[in-house]
Amino acid sequence: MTFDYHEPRTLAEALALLDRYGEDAHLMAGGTATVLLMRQGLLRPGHVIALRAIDELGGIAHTPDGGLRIGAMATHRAVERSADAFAYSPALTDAFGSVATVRIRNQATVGGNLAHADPAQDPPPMLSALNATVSVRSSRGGRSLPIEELAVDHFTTSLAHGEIITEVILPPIEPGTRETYLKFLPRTADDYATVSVAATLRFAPGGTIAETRIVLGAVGPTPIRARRVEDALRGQPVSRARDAVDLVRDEIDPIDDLRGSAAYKREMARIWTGRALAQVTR
Amino acid sequence: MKFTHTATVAAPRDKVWARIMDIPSAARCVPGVASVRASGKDKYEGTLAVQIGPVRLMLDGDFVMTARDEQAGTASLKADAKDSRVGGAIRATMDLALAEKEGQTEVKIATDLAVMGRLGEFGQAVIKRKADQLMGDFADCLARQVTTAR
Amino acid sequence: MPGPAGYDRAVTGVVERSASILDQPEYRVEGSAKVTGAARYAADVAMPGMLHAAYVTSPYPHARIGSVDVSAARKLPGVRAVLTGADTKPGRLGRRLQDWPILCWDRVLFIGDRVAAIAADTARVAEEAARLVEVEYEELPSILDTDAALAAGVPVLHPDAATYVFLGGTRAERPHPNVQGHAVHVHGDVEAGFRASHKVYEHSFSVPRTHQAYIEPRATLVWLDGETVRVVTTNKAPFALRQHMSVALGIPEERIVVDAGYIGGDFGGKGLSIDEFVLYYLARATGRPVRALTRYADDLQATNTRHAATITLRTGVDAEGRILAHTSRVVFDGGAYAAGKPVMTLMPGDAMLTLAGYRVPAARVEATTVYTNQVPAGHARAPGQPQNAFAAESHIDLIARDLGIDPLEFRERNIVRHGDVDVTGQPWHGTDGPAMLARLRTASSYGPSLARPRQVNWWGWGVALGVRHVGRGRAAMVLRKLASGRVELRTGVSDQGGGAHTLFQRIIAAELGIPPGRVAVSRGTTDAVLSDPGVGGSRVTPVQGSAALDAARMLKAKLAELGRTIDDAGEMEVTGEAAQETHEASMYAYVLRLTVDRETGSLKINDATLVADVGTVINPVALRGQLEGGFIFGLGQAVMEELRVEDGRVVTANLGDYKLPTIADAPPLRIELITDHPGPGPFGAKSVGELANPAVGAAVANAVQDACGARVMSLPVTAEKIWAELRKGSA
Repeated sequence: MTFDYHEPRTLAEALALLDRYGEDAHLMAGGTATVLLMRQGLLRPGHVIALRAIDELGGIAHTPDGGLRIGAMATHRAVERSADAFAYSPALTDAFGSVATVRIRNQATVGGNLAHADPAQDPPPMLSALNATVSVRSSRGGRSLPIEELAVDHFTTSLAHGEIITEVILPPIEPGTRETYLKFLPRTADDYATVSVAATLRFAPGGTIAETRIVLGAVGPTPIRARRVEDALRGQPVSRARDAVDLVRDEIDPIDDLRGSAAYKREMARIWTGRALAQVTR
Repeated sequence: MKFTHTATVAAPRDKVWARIMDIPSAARCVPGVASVRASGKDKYEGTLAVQIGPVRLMLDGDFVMTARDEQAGTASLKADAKDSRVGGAIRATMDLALAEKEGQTEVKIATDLAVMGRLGEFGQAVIKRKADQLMGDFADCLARQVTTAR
Repeated sequence: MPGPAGYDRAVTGVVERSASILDQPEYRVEGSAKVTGAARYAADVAMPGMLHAAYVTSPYPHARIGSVDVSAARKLPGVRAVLTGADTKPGRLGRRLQDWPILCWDRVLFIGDRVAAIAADTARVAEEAARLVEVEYEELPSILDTDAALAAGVPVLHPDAATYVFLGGTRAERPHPNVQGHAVHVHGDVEAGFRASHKVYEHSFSVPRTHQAYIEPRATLVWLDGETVRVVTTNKAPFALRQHMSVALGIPEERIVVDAGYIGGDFGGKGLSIDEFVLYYLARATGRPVRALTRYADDLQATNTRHAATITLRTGVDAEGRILAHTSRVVFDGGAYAAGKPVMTLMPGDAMLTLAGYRVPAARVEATTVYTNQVPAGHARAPGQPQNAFAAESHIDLIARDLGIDPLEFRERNIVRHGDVDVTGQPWHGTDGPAMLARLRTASSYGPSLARPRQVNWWGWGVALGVRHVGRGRAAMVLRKLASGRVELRTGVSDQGGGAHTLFQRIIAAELGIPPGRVAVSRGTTDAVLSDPGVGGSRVTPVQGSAALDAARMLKAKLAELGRTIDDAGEMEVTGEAAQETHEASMYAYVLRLTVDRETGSLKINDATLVADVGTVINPVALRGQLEGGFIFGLGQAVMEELRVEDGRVVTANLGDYKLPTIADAPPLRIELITDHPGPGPFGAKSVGELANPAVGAAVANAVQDACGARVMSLPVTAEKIWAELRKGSA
């Protein structure tokens, strides 16, 4: 297998290359997924367009409104260690810090992670619970979409060919919101989750739950938002949480694999959703 | 890996049977099937394109009707296909059973799929899910086609 | 979790020796070469004009080969040779029984069995060519478990077994044609023992296939140098490989030269290699050097794994919980070929050791290895013991708990004492078992089990012990006194990471009373050094180490004879030899403390204590590394490792799915060394490389039951299994 390696310096150049080579081109961010697939012979692009030299895709910083912008080429490790990201939400830096090992986190990027759309990854559920939007550019212009609309199936996104993820935008967090990311790792510290849960929750002045977002990883073809649990909690007192978490079992679609049977994952989703809620309502 | 799909078709059994036995046309109900042509008695060849994220497979192969019993409404098919770029192959046996219930026909497809070679190294769980999806779509499409053809 | 404990105990030997060198932590002889990248591993070796090999492998667990069409592959530019089974027929390879076809010609017996081999200018072209080979198969009914293999009227997987070469003896009778090896041992009056028993317990356990999981995948390079076949390999027993090749290929041993340099991990898996044989044919066909580098995925799918096993143990005890009689039936899944097993019985070495470490007045032990259409099984660290120790130490715990006797106390009552007969029927003269358990009790602060409130997280104690023989065999090596005042040992031992060369250096330095830096250790190819039995069987320290010591003593004697000292003598050369035939075994035991999360079944080991009888310590750092590493190795197999096979196909085909423990998974480990019971090795040393790993699985399973009541009867002890047991209990 031979391929041409391109390392454009600007986004415009990268988009032009992507248009020129069409389906024969594959974008490479950190390469942690791409290189593996290429070595396995499963991915055989004629052109690899590396995004590492494009400065405008980097950076992690507060937005003027108190939100957070994460450049697509920011590494997991950079997010994990970013003071701005930590100040925005320690649960966010936890989620990035939960990925694989330091060596992987030093290489893997936020945009690459999202484009790879592996449903067992740690950052997407947390970004989704924080209501992130993803900015995308193509030679025809730009658009942004809610992160929930990005992954559509195992390793499959809604992105069209010719589009590049440029950044993730996290909106300001309403005062009083609590967040958590829990990853269940029953085998080894270096593994994909058997189930993971990201949750955010905010109480109303009266003590009822004003708003909550709960997103699970590794229990379906994409990260799964537990909308029925959320609906059952909104406007309710915390005491409802116990019953509400039972609903999560029917919202997910896990598969039997080496990290557990579907039945076990279903039950673990309930347990860990309960634990996540306990953390954000404590 | 084994899975079973059922679809209910709002048509009598003989009509459904006839539709399915038109193999080249029925095969087009499998998403990604590019071309299917007869290559002998009860033998067909064709191509199936499958995409799982960035991984694109082009499975070339043939399938054979190994058993057919119109009376009982059952048939068996065996498919062998390989992707010579990736260096993997699949083998599937499908057992079809049609049963009429109150003017409707229940189509049951039991599939036993083996994924071989390098292809099998790419997460079996994901492949299983994809194959499951494919057969599910096939059953639904058949149901739709027969219903609209009525 | 915190990392392993540091050096919390000074190591002291009781045997007189001539220097205090052994008390100092060692520097590895090969350390700087390894950390600087200068060390040359087999995959680093390239030859001018070298070709690259790829294989066509079976996608079916059992099939008849129809036609093999290699025409398209031959036409691919860059392809230099394509061979099929027709070219190597009837060649078969193996360590004892040569039953593994170099290339298959009539049938394939597992997914991954080789049908054709290609040599090409690049690895890429070779792989491309492999994809172009068209093989027609007729699928045959496959045998995927041992019960199916032993049923009546099943296909015989090796109908021509009578024609296979069996090296160095006669193959034992087999009760069924699908049996690889079978043995029964009986001692004492078993029936009377059971009749006299207060209670009789029977339990069945299962242990999955695992992989040795060395870092370095196999790599092999073969070329013809005139009449000589030259081999660069990752095999850890080069002289044995030379013999296997000589027999399988019909070439005299002296015309085969094997070079096995640095080896990147072994754990029992590097004793069998399968590439050398076909590479010889490819090298002959092309007249060029040919190299095969195994992908890790291939290593996981098509080499010799640890045997899966089902083990049924039956034990009778008196009212005080003393063992009176024991029977066992162990069935190992040997996979498609027995080629990976070097022992005469064609079973894992300790296949019969089903209740090790206890006084067993009467026993009947039956073990069988069986052919199936699965990936072949061979040797893995302490072969047979991880399976048997898991079963036996779980069984012992279950009996103790049922009798209401504390599990550690039950072991104290039954542990074998000097002169007692153990499960092998032989009188015990190894480790002082009661003293070891006393050390364990104190060091671990083991206490009585407490009343267990039913809260989410609760903790428990787990105890398990194990026994490992001290290696036996013969070895020889040459020691040269150089003009410079230095000495050089010439050995055939390849260091697979255990620290063998450093061991030899320190033994010689200690005996000669010179600094280790004055002792060079050089490893030679099979034509340049004396024959060596290779690494394995807990052999290096007691056998090859003794040969090194003997060489030092010979040199000392020669110097004394000449009235010279090492500093003023001229050049001279001596040969050290050792024959370590003493049957001796040493013991070790664990206490673990762990916590189980009742809602999820997940566990966390909070603390571990290991007491090990190691005899005299020669390499204090490496010894500790072997014990800590053995514990982590055992921990991986205890809680996460499983080479999962579905329909004959290994589905854990990469190290992302086949999980190994990382340092983050390692709990604190307290190690207590017993050094006052000298062994037959140099200065009273014993073996430790296979001493610590087998009992970890049972220690975990036992602690899990103590913590939450769930008993897991199979490895690995996963969270889901614990959870399922807890659900059964609450349902």
